[in-house]
Amino acid sequence: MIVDCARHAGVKRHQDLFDYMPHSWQKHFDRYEWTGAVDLTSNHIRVSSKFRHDPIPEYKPGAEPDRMTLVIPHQGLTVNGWADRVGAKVYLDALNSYGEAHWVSSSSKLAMVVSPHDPVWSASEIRRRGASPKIGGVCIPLSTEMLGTRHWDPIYEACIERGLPVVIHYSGVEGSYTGAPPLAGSVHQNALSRLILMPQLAESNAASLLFEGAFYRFPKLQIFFAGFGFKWIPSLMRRVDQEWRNFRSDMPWLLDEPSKKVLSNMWFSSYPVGEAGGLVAWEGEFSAALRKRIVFNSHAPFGNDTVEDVERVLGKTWVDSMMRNGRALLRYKTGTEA
Amino acid sequence: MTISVDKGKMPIVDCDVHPLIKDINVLSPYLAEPWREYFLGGVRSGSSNGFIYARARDKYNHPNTTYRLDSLPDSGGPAGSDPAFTISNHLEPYGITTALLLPQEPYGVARFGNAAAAAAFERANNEYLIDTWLSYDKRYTLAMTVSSHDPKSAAADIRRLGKMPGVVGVQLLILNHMAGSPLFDPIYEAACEMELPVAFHQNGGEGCYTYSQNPAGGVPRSYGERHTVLPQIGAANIMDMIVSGVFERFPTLRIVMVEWGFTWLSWLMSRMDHLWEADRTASPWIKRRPSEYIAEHFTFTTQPLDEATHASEIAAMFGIKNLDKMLLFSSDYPHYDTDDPQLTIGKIPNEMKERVCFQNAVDTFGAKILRSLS
Repeated sequence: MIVDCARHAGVKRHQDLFDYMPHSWQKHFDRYEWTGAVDLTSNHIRVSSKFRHDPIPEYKPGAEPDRMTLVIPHQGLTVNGWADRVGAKVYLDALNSYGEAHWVSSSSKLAMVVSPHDPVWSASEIRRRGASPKIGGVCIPLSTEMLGTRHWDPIYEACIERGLPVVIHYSGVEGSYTGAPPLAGSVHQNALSRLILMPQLAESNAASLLFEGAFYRFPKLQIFFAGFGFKWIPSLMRRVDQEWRNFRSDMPWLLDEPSKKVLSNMWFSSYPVGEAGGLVAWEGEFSAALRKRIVFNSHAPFGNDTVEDVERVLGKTWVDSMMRNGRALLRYKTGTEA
Repeated sequence: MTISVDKGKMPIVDCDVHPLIKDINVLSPYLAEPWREYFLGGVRSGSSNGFIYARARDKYNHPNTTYRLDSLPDSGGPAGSDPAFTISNHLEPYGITTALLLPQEPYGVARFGNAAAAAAFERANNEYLIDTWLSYDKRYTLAMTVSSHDPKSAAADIRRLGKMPGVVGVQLLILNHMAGSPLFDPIYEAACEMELPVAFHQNGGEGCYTYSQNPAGGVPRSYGERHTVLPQIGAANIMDMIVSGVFERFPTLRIVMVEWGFTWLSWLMSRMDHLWEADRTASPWIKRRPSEYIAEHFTFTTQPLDEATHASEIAAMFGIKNLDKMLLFSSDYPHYDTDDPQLTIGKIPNEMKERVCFQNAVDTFGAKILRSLS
């Protein structure tokens, strides 16, 4: 079975969401600049000069007995750059409803998107929708509030209550729109720079989760960093442990090496697997325990890694491991394995 | 240039040693008015050298001390302020042939809004160190400090001091502009003209001010969390220099990345190549694989060396493509996280030791980096 832990789906027209909004909000959103902005929300990495994607094909899941997919409504992630945080919740509610209606099948589940700006509302949405078998995860668009802070506790609590992993993926406006998180450094020259540096957002938020003790507060919390690749993890694990050893008195709430929580509470994905060539040179950095936290994701329709791509770069052993790990992450039951 | 050495007498070039000044008043002879009064008068002189500090210590306070307690000189003053003591405390015990001095006080200039004051302080500090450290012992070499407050003034200083005996590089402070900005071109031009590599070292102000560079994501809570992600800023500036075509404009420019770590090169180099190959039009200034620019133009220092536990992990850390030609030994003396030279050198694979300990330094700085041997 192919377990694709992160592919994307989006609406072709913003007007398609109107049926999932109250009438008054339809009138609010029915304006040229918003309906015309669907190409912006659909661009997976928002451009400032070059680096763009063609319009994405519509996602129509069928019943594929040999495939399980977690679907990220990537357009919803862009609310991390929105100025109207109230309207953003209406938009997300509509997008999640549309996703449940169109992107879920017997072989696909939806990673609902919540608002980073209103954790209490988000928690209630997770409890409302999350009981449904259609929902397979909860996407939190990144904000400047680091993921380890208590700002997110209501969301984490609700995710644990519903048994859902938190899914973190960049929207593409990071380092570009005000209000969204910055990238490292300052103003970047173009979209290629920004795309290359996106894993640093995962690094920073992973460090925040580890140093703030989030997994001591929520031992069952599972955080899935999707689409950031995985080669950066060993370097970060060594670094957090060194800082902890240097400054244990500064963070007495951490009872053990922070990197241990990476192995029990965090997940990472394969895309873009093309950056993981030269396996022999780096594989020694990946312990067996760490390899159990890496899952396959196609990232389709952006880039769209296939299982064959992964096998060509990493070999069959890694592919088999990723599929097992993916089942564990998504909690799908296959054969005798729960 | 290949330097032949006798077995057992391998030179060691420590590419990160921080000299400090005893007291702000020692700069008095090197400051003209109005800067003498500006720096030495009133509240500034009352706070000793504490005001010359980039990190906002009320925002990110160090949990202990920033320096090693055993590095305080008997003669008084802060750690790293006595050239004789640095020799007896660090260079001689570890057989260090050359210490590349990266002055610390000028890091505080990173938070100056006043460009003229920044230049005056940098000049005074450079001249003081040339007079008191470089002339004291030939084991000392200096990366003279400039900042981008006023690039033309910085370029003039590089040309004025760049051929002084013992000056082997330029320490360029990272302010709010990314290193690929054309703003830096006068500095890079002067450095190339004087055949001096440019060193980037964290100044401590990163993540502290509205006008400083930041790690990705948001505001780290603690010193340790911030310190974990500081290398991101080094990586981001490397990326920016390549994407903006700095090395097409300055083909002989050499960059030394000090104290940013190096094991993250494993993902950065392969990611930049992969994504560039997916869309070669994304940056019109990149003419070849981005990782080739890194291998050709950049070196990285060993400290802080990742504390890997397994042999396979250590082998992978040092197995990064072309790392044998990019890595320079460093200790970060006298800071709290100084790497023990014996421990670090012991971990470097045998086949890389000569290159890391001195040969790469010679390739980067020229034979003058071994001035004590000549």
